[in-house]
Amino acid sequence: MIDDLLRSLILVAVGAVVAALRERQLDAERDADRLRAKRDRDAQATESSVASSGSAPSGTPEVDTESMLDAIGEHVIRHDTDMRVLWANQSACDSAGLSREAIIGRHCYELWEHRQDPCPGCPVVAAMETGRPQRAEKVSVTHRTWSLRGYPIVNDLGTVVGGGKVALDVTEVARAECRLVEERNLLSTLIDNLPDAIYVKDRQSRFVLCNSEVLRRKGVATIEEIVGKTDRDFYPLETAERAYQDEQELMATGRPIVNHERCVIAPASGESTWNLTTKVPLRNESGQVIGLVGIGRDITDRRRAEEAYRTLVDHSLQGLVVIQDERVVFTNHAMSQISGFSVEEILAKSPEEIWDFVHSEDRQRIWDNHRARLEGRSLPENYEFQVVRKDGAVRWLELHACRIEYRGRPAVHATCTDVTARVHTQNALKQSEAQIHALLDAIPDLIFRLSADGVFRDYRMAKSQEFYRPPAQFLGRPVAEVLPAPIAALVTDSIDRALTTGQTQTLEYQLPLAEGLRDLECRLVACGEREVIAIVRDISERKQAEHLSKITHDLAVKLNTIDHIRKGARLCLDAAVAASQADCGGVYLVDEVSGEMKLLSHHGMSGRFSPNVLWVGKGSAQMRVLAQGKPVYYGADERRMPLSPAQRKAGLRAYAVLPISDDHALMGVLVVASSRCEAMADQCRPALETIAAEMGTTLARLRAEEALLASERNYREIFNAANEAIFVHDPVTGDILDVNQTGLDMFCYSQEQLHRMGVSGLWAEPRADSAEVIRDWFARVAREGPQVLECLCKSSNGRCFWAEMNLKQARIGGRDRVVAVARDVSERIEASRAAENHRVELARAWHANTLGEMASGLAHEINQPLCAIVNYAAGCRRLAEREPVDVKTLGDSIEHIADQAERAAAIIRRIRGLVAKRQPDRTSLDVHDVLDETMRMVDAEIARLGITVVRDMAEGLPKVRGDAVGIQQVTLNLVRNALDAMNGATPVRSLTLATRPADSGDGIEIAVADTGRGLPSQLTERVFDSFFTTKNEGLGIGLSLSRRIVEAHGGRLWVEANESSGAVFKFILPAEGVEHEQCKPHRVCRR
Amino acid sequence: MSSANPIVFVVDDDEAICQSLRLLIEDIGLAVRTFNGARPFLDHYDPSQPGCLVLDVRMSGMSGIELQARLNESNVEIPTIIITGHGDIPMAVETMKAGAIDFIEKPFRDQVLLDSIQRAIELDRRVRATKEHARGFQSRVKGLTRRERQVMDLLILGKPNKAIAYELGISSKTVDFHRTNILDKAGAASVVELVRLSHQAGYTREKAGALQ
Repeated sequence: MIDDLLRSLILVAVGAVVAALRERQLDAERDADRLRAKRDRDAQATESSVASSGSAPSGTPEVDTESMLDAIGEHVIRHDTDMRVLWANQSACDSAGLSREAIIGRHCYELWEHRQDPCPGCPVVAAMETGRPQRAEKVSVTHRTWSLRGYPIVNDLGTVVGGGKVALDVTEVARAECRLVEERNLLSTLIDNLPDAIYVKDRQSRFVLCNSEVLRRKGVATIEEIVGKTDRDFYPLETAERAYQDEQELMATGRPIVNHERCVIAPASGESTWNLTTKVPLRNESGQVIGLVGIGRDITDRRRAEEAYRTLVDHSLQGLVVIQDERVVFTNHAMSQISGFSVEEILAKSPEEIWDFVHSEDRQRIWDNHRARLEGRSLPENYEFQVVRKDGAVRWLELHACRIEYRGRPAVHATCTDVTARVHTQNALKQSEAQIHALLDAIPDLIFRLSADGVFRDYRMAKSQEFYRPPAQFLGRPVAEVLPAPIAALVTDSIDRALTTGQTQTLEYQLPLAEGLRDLECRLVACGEREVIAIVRDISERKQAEHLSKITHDLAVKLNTIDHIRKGARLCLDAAVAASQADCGGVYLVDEVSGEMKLLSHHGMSGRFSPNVLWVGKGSAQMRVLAQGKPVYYGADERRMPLSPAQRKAGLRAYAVLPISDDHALMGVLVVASSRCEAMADQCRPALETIAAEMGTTLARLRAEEALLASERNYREIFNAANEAIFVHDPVTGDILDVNQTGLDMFCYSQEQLHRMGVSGLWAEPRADSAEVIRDWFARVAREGPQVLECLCKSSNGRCFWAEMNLKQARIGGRDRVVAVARDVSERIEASRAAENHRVELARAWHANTLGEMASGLAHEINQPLCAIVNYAAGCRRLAEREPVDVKTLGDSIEHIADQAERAAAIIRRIRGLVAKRQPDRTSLDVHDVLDETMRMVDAEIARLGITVVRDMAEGLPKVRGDAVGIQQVTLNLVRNALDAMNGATPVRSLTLATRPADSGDGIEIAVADTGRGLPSQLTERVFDSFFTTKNEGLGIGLSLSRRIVEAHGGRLWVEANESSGAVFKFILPAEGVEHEQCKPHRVCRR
Repeated sequence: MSSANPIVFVVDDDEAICQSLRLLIEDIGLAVRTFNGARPFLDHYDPSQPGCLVLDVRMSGMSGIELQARLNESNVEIPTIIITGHGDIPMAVETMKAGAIDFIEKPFRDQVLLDSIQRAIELDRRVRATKEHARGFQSRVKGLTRRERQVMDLLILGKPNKAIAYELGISSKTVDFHRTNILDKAGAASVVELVRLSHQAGYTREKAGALQ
């Protein structure tokens, strides 16, 4: 890198030097040319004027010429042949420092060169001798260089009469030329000795010039061997062609080629070499490109080194980064791995983005360091900081940064190592050290170092600790001199044991410290062979806590067995007094009835403390605690202790009142009081509160037990007083566990007899499988909940009665039981049987009634054939009376009479069929026939009521299989109901009979619709109940029996509201051939 | 298709009844037509045909009572005898209200029915004759002079001759003369008959006035 940087710099520098030199050379050449030209011009002018003045020695023109010559800067002098000054112009006079008059007549060499004879090589002398102008350069005594021109002055005769001299100070020109020579020399030396190849090519890329390095590389000896040749003559065609193309493009565009790295085969060695080439166009004065100048450097070695370096860098585990101008200009693979960004992404980062990589906590610091480093300030080179990876993970990097020159400008070179793991470990270590230190600091123990013979050697103490003796009194002294004798003996023993056994020895003892007598625990640990470490800890509070804990624990144990409130209160009070080191105390309970606080138990109320010390009044602590439910403590620090005069007199200084409550209610207060202010120490407060809570719990328990006893008594009373017999059974075995007095009375057995007999002994009809039956009952109770059964039971005196048993699961005394409540329901059973009988009777009556009605319909029917018979008979008689007798008509008529008689007989058979008691007869029926028959029975009434009959009969309905009489009873009943419903002030009187296939597809739906009053929706089911009727003279069994008949046919009967008004009774009968389950008669579960 | 001879229409859905009645009624020399339902009868019946109707009440389809109502609606006044197999008083009252001339329960003595039929046919004949006469009266009244019409109007109102003479400003003798002419022209034997005829023809004073 750095090499690269240097290389560029050198190249640039050399380029600049070369250019500058060349420029200077050109400038110098130009100056020289210009001066030379000017000099020539001036000389010519002066010559002519000198010549002219010579030719015209007098007259005005001479004056003009003189004044003109006066104005020019060159020295113009006219001499005679003896080199005396005849005339000199003003500048010549000025240079001599004399006036013209003073000059004239003197020798020029005397005037300017301070010589006595003419200067050697004087052009004027030479000119006069030769008769031709001469030129010379001469350094004057003043070390100035003069360009001198001498002219012969010839008169008209051609004789040289004098000479003219024009002198020009060319000192500067001479110097410039001199310098030019020097510089040229320097440049060529420099160029020739540069390790770089420098050459000039013309527009055809032919070498024009080159330095010796070029020759070396090309393997030629002299420059002549190169000039006029091209790269093609030295390099492989491809390389040469590429270079040629580049050069031609350069010359065409004028754009230089800078620092091109090319690998070429060196013509001299035949090895592959790396060249770094810079080519710049060469322009003529008019700016046209006339060729190029090339500088080539062999960078093969560097290149190899660089590659090696790059390989190292790329394989380095350290991330490298060079930051210049707020951009990363170089980075490596490791950096990419550390950062998570690819190399390209890092290089492409904008100045802002670079710093995003640094964790925000460290960003400012790193930025400041970076700036400082760039400014060259000294800084630590290594430090750690956090970065945020591309994936957001925070990593710790160790940075080694330094300022470098990169490509000629300052940059920061940084090496980064991912030290996250190390930092984490270090942090953890630091933390753990800090914790250990904190722990050590926090250990409240005193630590002593003791020698084997028990001499205190050293100690370590936490802040705010006190010693039994100050350090000065125990350091260097044996235990026996410092501690009280018994303790010292104990300690000495323990030291010996610790040293001999190597086991930690623990001993406890008490020492009077400033705070009072303190419990201390000392642990002795052997430390080496001759020393022990003693760790001493104040365990007074622990001891105190243990003491309190013991008190409360003992109390709890005792309270468990307490069965009386007063005893419990006593125990609690004693414990509280002991725990708080109080002098006296009391337990007050709030009376549940009066609400007043009453003293239940007291302690230490004799002698000094009378019961009125525990003042219970308005404003007292007790009342406050009762109101707030929170404990109140007064100690020495409590100045506003509300004390009654008695308390003051008794000298109470500490006082605690605690509420006694169970979870729900405040039941009383526990009071302890002491004349010592340290009695109610903070640490005893939890114990007091525990005791109060125990008191509350016990109180609640005892009260609950009392209530339970009372409730048990109540329960037994209720149990025995109940009107029903109550049995308590074991749910598994079914055994009778308990039975109330009513139960005993009902069955006339004693408690013991019942226990022995069990449930089955109560049954009127004992069964073989009674045990299973009973188990089944109880299982059902457990599974399905309460069960109701009816049993026929028998009492010991032989009375049989129906009992209704309500079986229910219950928890009695914490155990699962089944409670059976038995009630003698014989009367009810009898009543319901009577009602059932009545219903059967009624049904029979209804059947008879409808049958009668139907029979009467049929009886009317009989009138038809009878009427016909009578008519025929009358006709026959008339025919017979006539002469001649129409025998044929007579015979026919008699035949008709017989037919009609037959018909009448058939009708009578049907009537008998109806009226006779018979089994329902299932036949194949056409529903329409049945409906027609029904309508015929009521059409007189329909006519009378003026009811329109609408028939909506579906065609092609299947037949049904059923009892014609039964179905006719149903339809008649429905039609009759419909007529009854319309027998009133009904505006429209229309009876609709409709049949259609049932929706289910396997039956026929028959609908009887009226336009009567209709049925309220809540009655749509009730109308089918027995004895329910809306009619004044109805029995209320028609519909219920009709439903039974339909259901017995496997159909169903229901009622809907008619669309306009009235009701529609519909029933479905299954079509013939459809299987249907006969509706089973209602079954009553009864044993 | 009417003929002057009366026909007894028997409507009963029982074929045996129909045929036995035909035997009986034809025996007394009357023409019989039987129908096994109300609707076939309505389809064939021509009101101009004299005769009577023997009608069963209970029939499938339209009942006898319904048929009666239909006939009444279309102002057909055929004398109707109701026969029924199970008559009750409400039904009897119903049918009589609807204009039946007799209500006979099946079975019945042949003579009872035949007498009833005879009466019915006689009734029908009379009714038809009266109607015919009334129709003649109307055309005859149109032949009266204006004065005669005025006199007739007052006569129909039952006013005595003198009152009429006073009202019309003519002598009672002239009224008497007009009356004789009126009775003669109207074909009425007496004033009473004139009044009856004019009632039957729906003739009133107002109508008469309108005619003028």
